[in-house]
Amino acid sequence: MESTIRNVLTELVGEEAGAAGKQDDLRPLGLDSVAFIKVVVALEEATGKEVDDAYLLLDAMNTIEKMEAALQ
Amino acid sequence: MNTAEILQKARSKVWYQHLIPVLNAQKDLSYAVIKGEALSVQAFGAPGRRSSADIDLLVDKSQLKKLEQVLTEHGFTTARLSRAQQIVARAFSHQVAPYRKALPLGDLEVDLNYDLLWGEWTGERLSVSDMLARRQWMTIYEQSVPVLDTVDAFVQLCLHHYKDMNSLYHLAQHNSIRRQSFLDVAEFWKRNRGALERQKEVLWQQMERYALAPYFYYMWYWTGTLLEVPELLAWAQAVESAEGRALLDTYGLTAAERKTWKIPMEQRLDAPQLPQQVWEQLTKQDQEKIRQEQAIFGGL
Repeated sequence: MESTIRNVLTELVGEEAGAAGKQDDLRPLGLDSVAFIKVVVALEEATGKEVDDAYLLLDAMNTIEKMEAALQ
Repeated sequence: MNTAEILQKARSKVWYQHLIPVLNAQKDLSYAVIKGEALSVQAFGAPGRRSSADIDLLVDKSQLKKLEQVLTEHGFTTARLSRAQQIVARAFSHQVAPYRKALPLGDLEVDLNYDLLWGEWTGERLSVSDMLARRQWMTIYEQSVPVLDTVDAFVQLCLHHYKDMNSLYHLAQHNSIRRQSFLDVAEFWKRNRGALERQKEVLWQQMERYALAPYFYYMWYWTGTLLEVPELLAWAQAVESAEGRALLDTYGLTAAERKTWKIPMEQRLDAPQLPQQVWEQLTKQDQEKIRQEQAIFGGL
């Protein structure tokens, strides 16, 4: 899961976001509102899972660790 | 009352008599009517005293699907959204795409709100379920309608009007800085002054806990100034801060998107050319976000 997230972040947000620490805030690294939507759609397509409404907030998915939790 | 107002009141009555019994029959659904006729009663003393084009419901996010299911079962329809549009709605808005149903005298549009703060808000959020636990009941067009209690309704009103007046999405499409909005706040405050004064401590605690004072300062300062309500200006002064003062002549709902007005408030108020001026000041990213939101809320 982590490698899928990193690949998506690298492709859609940038290399720095893809290489970030698991608890690093991705917003200063380019995860803005438009990028967030693209990332969630790409992660759902890549994993076949739908992110629950409760996680569909930028601050609920602004780190790799939180993204992993949202996709459990 | 002129013909348009009579028609609007008749249409509103049909809407309430159609929708409210359906919702009240759902014993496990907790909701409140906000804005619209509820505000008309709470601020102006009776339904039909301010323009209203839809019915706004407030529910906890956990009950959103249940409410959507109830509306669908009773013939309401909504636009089919792509997954990206659904994410925009859930992540960056306080409401979902409206539900509609054709009724005599005009289509009823129901807006489902699950938050009192804007989608971009990153601080702690007001608890909708706590507010719904405190809700009260009032009679509107012979229906028993749940509404927020006085303090919560005032909080909702101030935050809603602040959001409308400062949202890039709204400002780029129509001038949402309206004298009527300040009038809503002034009249609500005057009509409920006793109750608000008695519960001032509760209101202040909410402002402090959720860091909302700058937004209330903005609403109270401009309402007090433009409509000459010195008592409300005194309330504004009591919550004044550098952050609040900085909001008075800016727009945008986040620090990142906030921009400074080039014209004074008196020239912004109800000015028809304002959306064009705003659009020209936006970044490409701001414009892209607005287009995405338009696809959900404006273009359907």
